[in-house]
Amino acid sequence: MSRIVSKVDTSSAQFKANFESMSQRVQQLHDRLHQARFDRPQRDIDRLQKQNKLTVQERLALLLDPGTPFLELSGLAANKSYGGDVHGAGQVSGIGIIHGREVIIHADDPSIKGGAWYPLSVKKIIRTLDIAIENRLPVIHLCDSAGGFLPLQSDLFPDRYTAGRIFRNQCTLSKMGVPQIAVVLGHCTAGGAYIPALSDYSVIVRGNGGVFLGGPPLVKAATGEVVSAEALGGAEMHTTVSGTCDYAADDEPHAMAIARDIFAQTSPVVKQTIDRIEAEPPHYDPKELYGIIPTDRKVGFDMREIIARIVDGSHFHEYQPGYGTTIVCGFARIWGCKVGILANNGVLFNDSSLKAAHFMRLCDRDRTPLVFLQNITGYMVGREYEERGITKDGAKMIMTQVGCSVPKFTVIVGSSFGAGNYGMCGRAFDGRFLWMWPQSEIAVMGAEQAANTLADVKIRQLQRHGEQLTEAQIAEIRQPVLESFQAESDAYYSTSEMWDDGILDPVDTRNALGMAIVSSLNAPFGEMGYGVLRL
Amino acid sequence: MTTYTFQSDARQRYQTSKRGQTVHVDGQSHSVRTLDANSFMTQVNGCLTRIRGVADGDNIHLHINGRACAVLRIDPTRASAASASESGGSSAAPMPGVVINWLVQPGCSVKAGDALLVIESMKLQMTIEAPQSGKLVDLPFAAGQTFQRGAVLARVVAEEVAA
Repeated sequence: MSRIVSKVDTSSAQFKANFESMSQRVQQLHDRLHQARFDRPQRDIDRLQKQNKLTVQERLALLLDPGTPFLELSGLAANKSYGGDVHGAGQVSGIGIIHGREVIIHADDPSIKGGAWYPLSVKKIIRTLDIAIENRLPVIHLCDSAGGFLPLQSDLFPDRYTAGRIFRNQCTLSKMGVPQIAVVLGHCTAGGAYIPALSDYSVIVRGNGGVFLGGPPLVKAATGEVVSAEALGGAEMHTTVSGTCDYAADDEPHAMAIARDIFAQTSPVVKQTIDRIEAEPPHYDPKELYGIIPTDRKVGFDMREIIARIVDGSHFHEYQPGYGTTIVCGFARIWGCKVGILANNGVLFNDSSLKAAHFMRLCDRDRTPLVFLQNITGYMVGREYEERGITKDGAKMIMTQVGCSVPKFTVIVGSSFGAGNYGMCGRAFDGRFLWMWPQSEIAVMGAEQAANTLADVKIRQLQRHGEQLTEAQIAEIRQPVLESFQAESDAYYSTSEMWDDGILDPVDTRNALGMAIVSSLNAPFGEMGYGVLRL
Repeated sequence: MTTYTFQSDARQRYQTSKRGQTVHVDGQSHSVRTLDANSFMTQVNGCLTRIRGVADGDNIHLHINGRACAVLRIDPTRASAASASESGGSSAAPMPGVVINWLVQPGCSVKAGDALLVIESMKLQMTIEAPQSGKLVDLPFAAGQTFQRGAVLARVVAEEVAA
């Protein structure tokens, strides 16, 4: 393995222009994340203070080990839904450290609509618990939710991947032996009441905490019984009478201290052993990534320059450097962990697809986790390539990728279009984590191509009826398609819908991957085995 | 077991490999004792010697008996990296596509590797480079024209060296 030799000229005008443009995008990302975390109307902050409640950020600071990283996931979820003010879908999710061990946090944010669950909140909690299942990460639930957002109940209650899934996932985790601790900081009503009840341990705050299947107003409506929240399901009642909760805390800092002490009693997991040595920072400054990414998505760039600014010591052993050159495959280390990297240097051809498939099998056999760096506009199309079996070779790549039992991680650093997204471990392919860079785009095809395809279909339809379209009419068909495709290809749209686990500042990519890889080692790798390859 | 090839001057290459506490250099074995990450003890010409080594990329700096030297670690895979295999001074299309624009006019002198024109295929733009130094005689496709894979996109003739 040797150091990648960078060919980037950091003093060129092009580099500086790219750097300037990416810096602005990154600033925008940090502004939006700051807004999602901290910008709240004063009345909501006053209300929390009056209730003697802390913000989610303050709660996390008390819960997690001081000075340790917190990898927030989907921080900009729902940024394009519900009018844009249900920040982070009203939930905070992420991986943090308690007593030196990784845990995943699910926290309701009481400063947003009283912590009500919107459809995307439910999606975010399910994703959080899916990550816990896939990586065997202990879960801490910080419960403080008004309950489901009733006007949208049909989108959050009845389906397979809606609210019920949260509780199904809790039971699955328990069956797998993954610890869960719930801290009840507000009311857990109706379905929400099951979160502490299905956790291994629960802590409840005196005064603020409440757990009940039906709250006081519902009880009154149903049976006429008039009862206070505290008497119905408060800390005293649940820890001394019903046994639904285990520990009563005097206030929130006390509750976090109890939760930390409970976690210390659970058994640490034995991590999977992989080839891992002392970590080393990249030789090239990761900040230079800003200057490498072209401002125009259509302009290609050498993925080795990206790899050089993510991996340990910028060391890279390239596999088949002279074959199928539109995909770069090779071995490197991230946080000292050996990984196999697949990165797009152009369109996928027959040879690049075969090379990728072969490389993935090598990594899988040697228990080497896979990292996919996507900048893919698709598999090559056209008669010549179909005759050479491009579809068949792409199928080999997809079949092999799904068959891999090692953890997979994906970062979309540029384009993610069409079947290329599938081959390169897109969201549907069960990678452990998937992130996007701020300028990246994702769609079934490019906006231009979609507009042209739809216009073409319409023109031929009308021709069959002997009609002709004018240029203006064609433009009229194209424009709305172009606009909607552009809006929905945007990384912020993707992250709003949680097609990813968040947008990364490119310089944070290395640490996000490092933390994800180390966390993923909590779960045993699956059984090896492959589907039938069409040879 | 790890094997490395080193070069301390232009002509000599050494093959070393480490297995346990033994280092093999060009077939000869030497026992070593690791002291810490950067220093170890071994026998040099029969004398017990402490060697310090610090790696900086492919350069390894060694400190032995008051002398310092640098050796270059050779990456055995680098030589097999893709090398330009153009022929006859023409740049062929790597895939079907359309010409976006010319960066150089025919008749100009160009150096090997200079960008000649920009093409677009599959939503990606790429530049086509001069296969060799010389005079650009022809750019057969104008901006907006489409071409098939293998089509000649540029021809460069090597200029006669003045006698």
